[in-house]
Amino acid sequence: MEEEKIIAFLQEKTSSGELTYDTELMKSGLVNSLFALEIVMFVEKTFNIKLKRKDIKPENFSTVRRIAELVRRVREGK
Amino acid sequence: MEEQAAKQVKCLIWDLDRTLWEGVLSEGGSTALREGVRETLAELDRRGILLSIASKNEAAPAMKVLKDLGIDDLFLCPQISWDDKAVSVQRIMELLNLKPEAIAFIDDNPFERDAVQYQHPKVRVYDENAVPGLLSLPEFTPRFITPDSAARRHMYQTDLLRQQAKQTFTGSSEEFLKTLQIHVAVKRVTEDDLQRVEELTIRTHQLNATGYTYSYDELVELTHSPRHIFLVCSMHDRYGDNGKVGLLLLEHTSEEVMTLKLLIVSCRVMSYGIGSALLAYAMQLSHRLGKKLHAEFFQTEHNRIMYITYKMAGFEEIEENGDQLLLSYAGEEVPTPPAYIIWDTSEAEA
Repeated sequence: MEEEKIIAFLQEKTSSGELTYDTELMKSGLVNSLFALEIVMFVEKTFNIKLKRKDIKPENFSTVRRIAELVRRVREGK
Repeated sequence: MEEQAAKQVKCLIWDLDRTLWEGVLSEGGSTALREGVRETLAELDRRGILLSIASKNEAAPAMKVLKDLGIDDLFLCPQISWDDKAVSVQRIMELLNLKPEAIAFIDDNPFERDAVQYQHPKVRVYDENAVPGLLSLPEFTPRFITPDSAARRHMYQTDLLRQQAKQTFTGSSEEFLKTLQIHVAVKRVTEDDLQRVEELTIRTHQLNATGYTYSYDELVELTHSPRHIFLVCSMHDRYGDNGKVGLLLLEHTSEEVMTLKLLIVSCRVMSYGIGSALLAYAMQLSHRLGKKLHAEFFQTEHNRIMYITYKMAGFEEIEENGDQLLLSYAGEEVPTPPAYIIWDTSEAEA
């Protein structure tokens, strides 16, 4: 499932202990600007999608759940 | 100037047998360097063009020959094995974080040249007869040779050490970055910096938001211009000095707005988040001056990563004209640069 892959990635990248699908990634300071960039690259590579310009915005990457939803939305071509 | 820029070779990958040295090592042939090779290697190194090796040989004896010739230190991440050369070239590009356009490959064997060319159409390929004239070719002739170009090999070498350290590090990436003790110093560009500044604008394609280039005279003017804030950033960490790796050019476009015209970071330091950190710094600066921050962005084939950097930092498009975008920071909060970077901005605001 997308969520689990994303959590695994974040745990490898950051020194986060507790991380749920709904943890606010940017606001908690968990994800700094470098990792924000890396998350975008990771998502495209891992799920083999190419995000459109309009999809690349902080709101779409604010929680693990929203990232996963974005991936599913792009895959379904919406 | 842009066209010329695209043509510069950043790394030349050498075959060994009958290209670098005269004979075939495994057949007991002569390993004396071919005529002109030693001088060519030394001069390319001085010009800041990296050297590497893709050779089908046993690594240990080949490295011993290079050591005996006193040139082993010149080559970064030599690939000496029985692997396909296209694979070796790929590995070198990954290790040095270079694009195929920046790579050249020299080999006496037409089969190897074709194989590399087939897999990497953008890599420039030369035969062994190119050696005597190599130094006169425009793609091997940078406009300037700066202290940064002469030290480039050393900088890449330390970067390879960092990569190795990262691979053996067991904690998270963030913890690893903390162990590097990254120091970033931002200061006003002065005339002494201009050759390196010009080099960065010409050499950098991936982490370059606009790709604007300026003539030397224009650059001189920008350093004195009251309408501009022109900053250069250098970086060092526990492995060594990375030299000047980033540029920021801000223009006071109106009473309320300042605009980022240049945001450039050398690809060599891509994995340290310097681009995002410099952007955060510009956002703080504009906030302190009570101005809104805009950023020009000129989309190219290579710089999507910069677009992502802006967007993920909270910038939004406010104008679009083909590949040319104007972005504006829409958020309220002022970001802080990542905690693993130790900042020195005392000379930027002086």
